[in-house]
Amino acid sequence: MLKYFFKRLSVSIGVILGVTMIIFAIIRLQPGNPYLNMVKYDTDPDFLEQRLNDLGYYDPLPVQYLKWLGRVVKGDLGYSIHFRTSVSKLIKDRIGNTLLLAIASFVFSTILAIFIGVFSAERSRSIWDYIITIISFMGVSIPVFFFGLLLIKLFGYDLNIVPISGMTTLGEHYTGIYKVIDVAKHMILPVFVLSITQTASLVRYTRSSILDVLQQDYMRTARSKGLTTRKAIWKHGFRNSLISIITVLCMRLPDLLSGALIVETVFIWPGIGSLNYQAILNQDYPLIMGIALVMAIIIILCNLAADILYAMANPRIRIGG
Amino acid sequence: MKKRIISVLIAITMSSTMLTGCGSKNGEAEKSKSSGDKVKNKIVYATTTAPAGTFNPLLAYMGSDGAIDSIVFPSLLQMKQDGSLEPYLAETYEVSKDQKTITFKLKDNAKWHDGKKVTAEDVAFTFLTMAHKDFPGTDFNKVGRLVGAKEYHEGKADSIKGLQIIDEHTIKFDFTEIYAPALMQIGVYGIIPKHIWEPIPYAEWEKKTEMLNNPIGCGPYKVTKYESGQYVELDAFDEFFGGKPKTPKFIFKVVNGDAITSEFKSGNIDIAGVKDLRKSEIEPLEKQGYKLISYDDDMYQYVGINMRMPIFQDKNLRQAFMHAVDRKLIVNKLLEGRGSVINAPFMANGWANPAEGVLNEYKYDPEKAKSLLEASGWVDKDGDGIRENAEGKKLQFTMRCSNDSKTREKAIMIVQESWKKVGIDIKVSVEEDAKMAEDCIYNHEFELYALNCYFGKDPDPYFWWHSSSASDKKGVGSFNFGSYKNKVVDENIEKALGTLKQDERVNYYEKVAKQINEDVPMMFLYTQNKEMLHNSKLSGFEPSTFNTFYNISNWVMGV
Repeated sequence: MLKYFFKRLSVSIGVILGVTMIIFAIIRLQPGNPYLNMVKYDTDPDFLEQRLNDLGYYDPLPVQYLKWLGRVVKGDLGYSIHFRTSVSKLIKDRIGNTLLLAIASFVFSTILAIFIGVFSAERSRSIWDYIITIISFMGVSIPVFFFGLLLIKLFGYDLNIVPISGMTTLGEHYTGIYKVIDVAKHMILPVFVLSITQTASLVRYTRSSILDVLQQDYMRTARSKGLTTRKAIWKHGFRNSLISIITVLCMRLPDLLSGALIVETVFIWPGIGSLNYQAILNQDYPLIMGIALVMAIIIILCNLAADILYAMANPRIRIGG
Repeated sequence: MKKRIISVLIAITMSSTMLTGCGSKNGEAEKSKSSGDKVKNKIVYATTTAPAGTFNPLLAYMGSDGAIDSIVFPSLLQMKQDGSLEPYLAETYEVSKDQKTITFKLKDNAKWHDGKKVTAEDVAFTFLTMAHKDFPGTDFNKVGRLVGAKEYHEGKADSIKGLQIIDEHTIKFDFTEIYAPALMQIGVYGIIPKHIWEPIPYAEWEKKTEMLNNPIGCGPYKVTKYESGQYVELDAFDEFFGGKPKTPKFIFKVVNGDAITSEFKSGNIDIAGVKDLRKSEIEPLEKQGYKLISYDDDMYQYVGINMRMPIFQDKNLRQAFMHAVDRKLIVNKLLEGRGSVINAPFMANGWANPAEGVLNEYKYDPEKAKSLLEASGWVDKDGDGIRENAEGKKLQFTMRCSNDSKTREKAIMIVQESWKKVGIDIKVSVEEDAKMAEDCIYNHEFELYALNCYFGKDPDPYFWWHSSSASDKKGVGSFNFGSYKNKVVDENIEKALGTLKQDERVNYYEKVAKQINEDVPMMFLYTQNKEMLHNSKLSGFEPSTFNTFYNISNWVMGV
């Protein structure tokens, strides 16, 4: 098991290096430079040259990458050009907000999806099953930003009952439990939007996974010893399909993080997604790289966790891999 | 049994989350009703670009940071609605007879947010800083014409000779030459406190995030909280030299441009720019009592022409470009009438723009366009709808169009259609802004391109239209993008720079405008109005093109 773990880990590190290398190349291949926004008609061109030189803009690409990597190994993610503060501080300030959104919708959508999935599988090929399948198809296909704007129109403009942007009520500095309630209210819409596509895809997964298990011999045995379908599903079926559901759950965190980019921009949620959006708009190289690295690490750790959980549950994989 | 308990537990948590979901929605409904009359102690101003937190006029380059700076850091003078200047932090100012010396006397009751007095030392420090060679800002040019500024910038002198502190509240600026925009450049520039920033070495300024996020100025409001990506909260500064601000809190809120109407409707914001909304979105809000203010924008849209290319030396061709397009139609249809057609590089309602009737308006006249083309030998001989000259060169170009404005893209579609009707064929290539900037500003590799440009606070067009602002060398940037060179224009721009008297400058600028209008080195398209929508209970809000926050200490929200 330990050998398998280290093997997976070393692959992961390789992947992280690869990912950062590709992102580095892509952002540097785009036209323009980070100071373009600052250029005014009377800006001294020599001054700009100087700034770009200081930044290492004119070094060959591999040299720039190695320099960046060298600093990262020492724990220095660099300095944001746009925000004029250290990248690690910016990420540290924002990542909590993103995790709050991601975890809330993770929990919400998981519980919802498992129940709907089981419900649907129990009544496979009934009218309920079809309705749920159609709704979940819609949930998977609806673009997140569109759905977000739709909700803003509905709940902000027409009904005016939930906050539609930001994380706290402006000008009110709530503390303690009031702050929690205030933030929770602001979370309703973004969490709902983020959850909906997640729930939709997970419902379909849970449903098919349970249907699969239902056809197993041991389920027939369970039924033959007198259990109702529902009892059989929850006692034997759910447990057996849980292994693959857990794996899917692990793989979902990356989805949540990338979904956050759009949701955060729509709802002005001050997380890593909206930070990333701004960084890209302003060609803030150090910040883009910093966020990419953090995201890559989180995603790869999730994959690693999925691999390991799977291997623990199913020994055949360990031997094969 | 255990499993049953677990499933019951899951069921409970699930149903309870659903319940709380509904519960808080109901709670919110009650709350927003009751908070309806609570808003009067704060004004919320919406912005779609999140401030970057560089609240220092010497370092800020983002529009939204600049907006905060203009509130927190008063300048010596400020712009009124008609574009003229009035004293702000200064009590009085005086221009000498030879127009080379300007003396400012500061208000003696001005205080920094930390209670220290504002003195001439602070003013001198502000301008010395931007002139220092180690300082990472880009504004040296603003003080470059002071006596001794170059020596100081090159490190040959310890101070700028032309910057003299007379007494605690009086400061004198001596210029090497008469320079028309000087009053604007020195006068309308936020003053920073010496006692706060002097201990910091210049090279370190950019890294002082804490200080930049929590600035000390002497304006009517002071920043109390900056939440990156969300909002900036400002509190009234009771000892403001212009009197205690009437509203205790002023908040800058970042909003999603697509959700502005909802934000208004839910009472989250009181003021927002709405020029990018459709009329049909604004009208329902106006019916509900929101007020719309409309004024000139400092941005205009144009089609740049690369005058370096021999084919574009032909004036008839350039004039035909103009006559072939119904620019009024663009304004009426695309902008829903909320804008105007311009014919010269001066703001339509600005003092430098020539009176009506002076300029050729290039009315929509496709027949005239055709005859102009024919006069230059452009005829469609092979009947493919595209004109060619005697050598068989066709009127076919690539028009590059920046992708940051949908309206501009549509306008260019109209241009393409219209030109096609007179026998000019263009391929439109919509591109990234950064790519365009690189090719059009720096590498000069283009035929035609569509982009926006800004008018300065001072109408001086030197940096866009003087021949010495042009560059034909690859890699060297120039803001005279098309490389237009004309002696009359050069001469009159220089003459207008040589006097601070507005009535004299008007005459010179009329000549500049006439020449450019005649030569069409650039196809002027339109300016879109700037539009602000605000809560009808708000009074005192009198924005103008370059001073949105004019008199902000008097803004007040009724109950």
